[in-house]
Amino acid sequence: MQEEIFISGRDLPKIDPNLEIWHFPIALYLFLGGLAAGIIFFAALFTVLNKEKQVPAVVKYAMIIVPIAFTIGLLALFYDLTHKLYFWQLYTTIRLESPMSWGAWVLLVITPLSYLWVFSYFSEIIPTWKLPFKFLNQLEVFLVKNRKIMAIILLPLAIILGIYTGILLSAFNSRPLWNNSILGPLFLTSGLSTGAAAILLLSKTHFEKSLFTKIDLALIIVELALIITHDHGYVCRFCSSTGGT
Amino acid sequence: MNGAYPQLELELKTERCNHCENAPCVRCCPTGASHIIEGGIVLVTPNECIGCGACIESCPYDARFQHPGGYVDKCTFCHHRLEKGQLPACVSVCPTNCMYFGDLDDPTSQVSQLLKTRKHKVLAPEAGTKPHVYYLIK
Repeated sequence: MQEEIFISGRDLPKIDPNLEIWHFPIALYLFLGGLAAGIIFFAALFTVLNKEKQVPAVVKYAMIIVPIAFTIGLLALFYDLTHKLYFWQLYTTIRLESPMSWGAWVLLVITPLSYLWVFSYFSEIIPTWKLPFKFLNQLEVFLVKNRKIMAIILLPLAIILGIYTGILLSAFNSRPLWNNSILGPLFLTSGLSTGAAAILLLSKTHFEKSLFTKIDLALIIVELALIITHDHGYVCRFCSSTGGT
Repeated sequence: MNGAYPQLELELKTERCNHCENAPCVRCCPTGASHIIEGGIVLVTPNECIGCGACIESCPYDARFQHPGGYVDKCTFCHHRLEKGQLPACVSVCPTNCMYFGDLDDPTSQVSQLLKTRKHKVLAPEAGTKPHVYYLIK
């Protein structure tokens, strides 16, 4: 980004370089993606640890938010593309250098898995409803049996989903305030903290409430430390360049 | 404009895609639409571009923009003219002949000779992009 924009504050379309490439849908997706990554992380973690019976709010109720968040978030991402009908080009290649490519592939796997996860708890969430078709019943039985395998796949994917958005922004050489190594961990921590907070809203038992309060507090402290680390360098550089201390 | 009064310097320059060797736009592209062809020119394949804008965000030179057709476009160094053995349009129409184009890998080419004999600089060297556009100063 050029210095003259900072100084003059101009943003004339077609004359000055574009400052605003990504609009509100991207910000919406960054929030929803982090929230979903946080909830999936905790749901998968407690399932892998065989503790899912003790945290029903996580694995059953908070997970309902995830497919909704993904659906809204992915529609927002699609809306912000300018060459929309070519979006499938994302899935013609895997580019390890491009964080957006990881994100696209992770979302392709994690979104259907989150739907299947919620479906596997269908009978437990609404016991009075009977599933209409026989194959849906069979699918549910199959998913309940393989919930642990789903959790093992979801756990690393949730971490990648939580961290890739930060790495995506930090890969932009032109944005000095983003172009650093703290942004990835910061986004991951903030996503996990948002997930813990959402779980806290839905939890009913004392055990779950106290557990997730502790987790969220710890995450907020880590996040504060990361924010201080993130800004510290810039503040120091600014002070030294203006002659202060 | 540079310097402190009364020692002021005015610099007029023409800006375009710097066709970086370490191009952040090519690294950020999720589909591989942005690529570097043999010879070092950075190009976009319109039918592979999804218009996500990551390359526009990443470019320290603000060289990229969204084409009205939806895909991302940029200076191609007049690739279509080079193929016919012509110079880029900007070089060929410049009324003061202040721009030069050529092969930097060839030590005997005009551009290589100019970089050997003239003082020059690149834009935003701190971004670490290794641009292929050099500005001759003095």
